[in-house]
Amino acid sequence: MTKKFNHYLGKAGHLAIMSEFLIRGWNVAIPEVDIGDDIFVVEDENGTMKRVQVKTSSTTIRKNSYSAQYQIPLKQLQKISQSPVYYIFIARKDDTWTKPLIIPQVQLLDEFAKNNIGTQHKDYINLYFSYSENKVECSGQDFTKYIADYTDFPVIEH
Amino acid sequence: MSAIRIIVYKEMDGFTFSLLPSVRDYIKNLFPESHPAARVHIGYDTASGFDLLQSGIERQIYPTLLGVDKEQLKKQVDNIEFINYQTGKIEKVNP
Repeated sequence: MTKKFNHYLGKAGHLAIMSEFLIRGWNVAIPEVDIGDDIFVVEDENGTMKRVQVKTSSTTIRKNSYSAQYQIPLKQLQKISQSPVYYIFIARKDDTWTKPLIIPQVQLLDEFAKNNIGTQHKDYINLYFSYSENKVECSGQDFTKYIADYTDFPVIEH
Repeated sequence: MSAIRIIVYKEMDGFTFSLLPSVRDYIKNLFPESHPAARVHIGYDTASGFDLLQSGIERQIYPTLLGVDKEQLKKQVDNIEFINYQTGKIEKVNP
């Protein structure tokens, strides 16, 4: 897989997640200037805005499972500002997207600080997710609870 | 006795103080009646008075962020650590 394809994969992942938010009734926007946030997700009625970071990966097939690898900048993870950030991880497998893992920034930072998930390389954290039937793990921690967890993005009726 | 870690993030218009979920759980265990928040933002219209630990503002946020007043904290907590990931600086404050 070429570096160029990774750009296509990443953008496809963004658009797939944006589509999902739209169908749930949330408005979406991409910042004109890339400042680190991938998507702004907005509830039009009251202006509630959440920032979303989409991380996309291809998959490696294992015997009874498959895995995906993601990289996130440590500084970005540690920057907890007033509007919450959500990390959404999706992977491409067999020409379809996996169900997204939706993890609030503070939860992910907590997993990193408390459970030592991932491996730190310079200013980045590499996360390896192992997907098996209805289960996702990262560094031995069960991440299944984050699968398609849209709790903070309830469906908005229009 | 123990320490509680609060994350401080300086923004253009104020400070955001936040607690990680595990710290919130820890506070709830320590003080079952408490209701710690995920984060509290203190906004300023001007840049003046921005010197966080000179202003003593950190003590003002204990009840709102931690859901516990200073007297309760004093009994069970040694230190409150304010960590600023932007600078890497950690300030230890007695409650």
